[in-house]
Amino acid sequence: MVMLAPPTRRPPDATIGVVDRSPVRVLVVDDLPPFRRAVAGVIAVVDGFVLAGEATSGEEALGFLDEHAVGMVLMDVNMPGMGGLEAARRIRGRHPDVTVVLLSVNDTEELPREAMAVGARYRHKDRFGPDELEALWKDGGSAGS
Amino acid sequence: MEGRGVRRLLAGLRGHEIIEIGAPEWERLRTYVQVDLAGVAVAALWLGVLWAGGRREGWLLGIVALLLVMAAFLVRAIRLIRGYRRFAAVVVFALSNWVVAVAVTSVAPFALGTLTLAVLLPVLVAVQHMNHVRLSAMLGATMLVGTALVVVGSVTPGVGLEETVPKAVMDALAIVFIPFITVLVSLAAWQNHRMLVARAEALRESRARLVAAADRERCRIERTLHEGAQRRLVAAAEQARQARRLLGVAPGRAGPLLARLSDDLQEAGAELRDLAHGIYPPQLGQHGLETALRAAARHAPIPTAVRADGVGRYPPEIEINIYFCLVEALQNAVKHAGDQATAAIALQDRNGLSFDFRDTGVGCEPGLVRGGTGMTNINDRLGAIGGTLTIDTRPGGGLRLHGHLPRSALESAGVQRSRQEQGGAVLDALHAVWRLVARLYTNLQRSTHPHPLQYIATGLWTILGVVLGAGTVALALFSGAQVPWLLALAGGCGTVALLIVVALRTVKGDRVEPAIGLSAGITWCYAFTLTVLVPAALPYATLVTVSPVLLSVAFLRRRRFKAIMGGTVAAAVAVTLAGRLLPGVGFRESAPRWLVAGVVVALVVLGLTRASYLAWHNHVMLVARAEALQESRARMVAAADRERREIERDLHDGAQQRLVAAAVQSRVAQRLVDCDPGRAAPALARLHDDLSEAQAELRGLAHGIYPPHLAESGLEEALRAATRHSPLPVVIRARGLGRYPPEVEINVYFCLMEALQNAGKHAGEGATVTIDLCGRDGLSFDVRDTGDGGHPSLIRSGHGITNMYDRMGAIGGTLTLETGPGAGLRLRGYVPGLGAGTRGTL
Repeated sequence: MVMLAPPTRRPPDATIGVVDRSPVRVLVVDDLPPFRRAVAGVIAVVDGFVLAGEATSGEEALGFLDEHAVGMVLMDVNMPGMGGLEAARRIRGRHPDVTVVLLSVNDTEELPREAMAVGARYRHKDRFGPDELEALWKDGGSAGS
Repeated sequence: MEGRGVRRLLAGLRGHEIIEIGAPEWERLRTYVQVDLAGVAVAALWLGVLWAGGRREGWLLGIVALLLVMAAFLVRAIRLIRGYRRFAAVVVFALSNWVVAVAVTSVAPFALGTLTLAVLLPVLVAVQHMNHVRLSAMLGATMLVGTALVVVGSVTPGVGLEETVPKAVMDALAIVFIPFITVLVSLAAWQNHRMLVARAEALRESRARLVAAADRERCRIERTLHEGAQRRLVAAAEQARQARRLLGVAPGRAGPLLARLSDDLQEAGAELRDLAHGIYPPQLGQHGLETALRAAARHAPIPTAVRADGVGRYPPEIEINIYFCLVEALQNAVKHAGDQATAAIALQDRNGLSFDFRDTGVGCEPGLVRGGTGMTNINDRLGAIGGTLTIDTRPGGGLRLHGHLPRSALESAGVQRSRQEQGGAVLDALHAVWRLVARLYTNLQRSTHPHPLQYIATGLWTILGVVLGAGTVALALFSGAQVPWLLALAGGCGTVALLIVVALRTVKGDRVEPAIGLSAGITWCYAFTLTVLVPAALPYATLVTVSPVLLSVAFLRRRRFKAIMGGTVAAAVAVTLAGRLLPGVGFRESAPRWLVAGVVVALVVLGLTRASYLAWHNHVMLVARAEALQESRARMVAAADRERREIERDLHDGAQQRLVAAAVQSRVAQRLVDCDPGRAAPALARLHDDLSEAQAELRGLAHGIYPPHLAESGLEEALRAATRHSPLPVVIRARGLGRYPPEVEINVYFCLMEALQNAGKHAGEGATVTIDLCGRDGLSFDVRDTGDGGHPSLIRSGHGITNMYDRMGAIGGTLTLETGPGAGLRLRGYVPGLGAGTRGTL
């Protein structure tokens, strides 16, 4: 089976890392610079990922996605403006192929009940690093899992 | 067996005690309604005995049936109080009084004298339980019902009971019930009087407690930061430096060190997150009360259910206070309810925001709850945002907390709710009636804020008018009929008029208490004399008798108030005896019936207006006395909450993010050490710098929360340390300064910081500031700047100065301000009763 999807398309699970070798373009969204810098550092050291851009709010991220091809969005939950949850819901609505990973310093059960329905995946900010990023992509599954 | 059943019935009727901390209101309201119920029961019993004793007449049974209806109303009111529906309870109580009064009077007009006061009673009870709008509607209703009652009693013939019922029975009913209702009126006034004093005291204490709690918390946060995250950061920066060194000499050991570092940073981040969470849970600001409470419930050691109905978003000061109230309640349940207990939290937004917290724990004696700090805290917090708390517990019966934030409190905080209150149109109409009456009355008084002396003077003028009128009529009749006693009556009226003129001169002085005493004496004599001469004026006389006790509510001290209460009841007995047993001068017999009815209606409406206005005045005083304190407390709590949010934001956006980022960076460095060691060194250098910056930021934050110098070395040292970097030159002089209780030191410290900030902002360039501190005979400070000064009223209304006033007020101190354009600003603060070295525990 030959996977011909552009890099913005997430490949089916079985073919990850086998057929499609083009790097995953990642958008980092966080209103605070230290964490954006740290995540950019993670992307730089993990093979198969490339930083597509940085955004400081959900609104900015939506604008970026309309103009650029992105495979994955790493986004903070707690941001001024529309916030990560609403931004994730809109991204999933407009770009269903983009994997959205929401990062939070809180545990997922501390998020509001509707958070589970936005179609994003959740990771703890504290534990994020190169291993976690690789695992995220390898886990595959539907982006909303 | 039977006895126990009766006891259980009585206990069920009463319900278990409702506990309120500070200024209890519900319990009093309930006691009050119960006393009224007891009165009704006695009346019904009496009539029942009469019926059983041989007077098998239908009217007796009719009145008994009416009284039983009233008793049902009152039982309903008691149940409403148990359901925390105070307004509805007062309305039901009022309706029961009014319906029965009008119905009984229409059947038996001779009961008018007995029931006039019963119409007034509900509004006096309502004074402390209602807001302005509701109370004015209630006053409007009282005026309407009172007028209807007197018209019905004076105009309708009744069913002819006067002929069938023996006079002795009617007299006995009046002689028992008029003093009984007077006692109830006096008790209502007494409760209003006590509430006036208690509310101010409770507010003052609660403000001091809230300020102390906020300061204690500052101290705790500073300690936690200092001993936890700050130390961890120092160690982490050192580890990053070590790892960088190892890269050159032993690269194999750098990897494990970095792994440990990332674990340490993760732990430090978690610790900081817990701290920030305790200060102000981030979910609260982001997702609102319900989500934040669900998160808190999930972490609670006992199973806790959260239910919310119609709850939306509210201003932060409301959300944070309700959140902390419920978290405190939950902590309390975890501590005391026992292992098997469960808890349930219900939030509801209907006619205001309310919460209901119940646990299935072991409960306790009500007295224990009242003395506990947890419940006092909840009560203070809720009170500060305009809410009320009631507690319901008994051994073995769990604990129930009910908090209510009325719609008016939500609206004044800017929350808009479109739902219209039930019966809004009726409320508006009654409100309009009272506005009309009040406007007529204040025009008569010629002042919207009458002084008690003015009340007394208008009362005396009214009596003078009545006396002179009666004297003139007596003289005119004498000229026609030549009856000697008419001449004597005219002479008596003239003497009383002279006495009143003398009293009016006395009242002109400024001493309120003797003036009230004098006017009470004259008022009672007037009521008595009037009833002796014209027994038909008994309904009016009962209203006149209670006016001194209503006037005294806001002006007399406890002992004198009790004396006035005693006088009122004695006067009521005398007036009733005179009205029922003496023949009078034959006004009713000689004058035409329409004239008698007209005079009685006019007099009763006049008396009712005056009594209602006194009730309104008491309400205004009750609110006004507490208003300044209430506002000050609300400001302090709002400031403390704002500060919490700021600290949480600072921690979350600053140190916590840096720690999380550093943990991620350390993992990146670890990966680089393994696969690309050349890029690892710069990454480690960046990590080290980031950690040092985070450390400096955290130190600055902790210092701003609670200056460490203050606890360690006292006020003078802390001030010197703080002013070292001040933009204006500051001179500090201290004499006889020692150590003081921490709440005094911290509040004086922040006052002085505020003064310095103020000077930095407004004094202008080139100004200097001098601070004099003196520890002799209390603690005083004197801050002067050589700046531009300003208009005193402008400065006094400033945010900074208000904050200083509140802080000094909270520790029992005073603050004075002297300034003028071009004259600089001078602030003097004084905290009395502190010797140097009186350091206590916070």
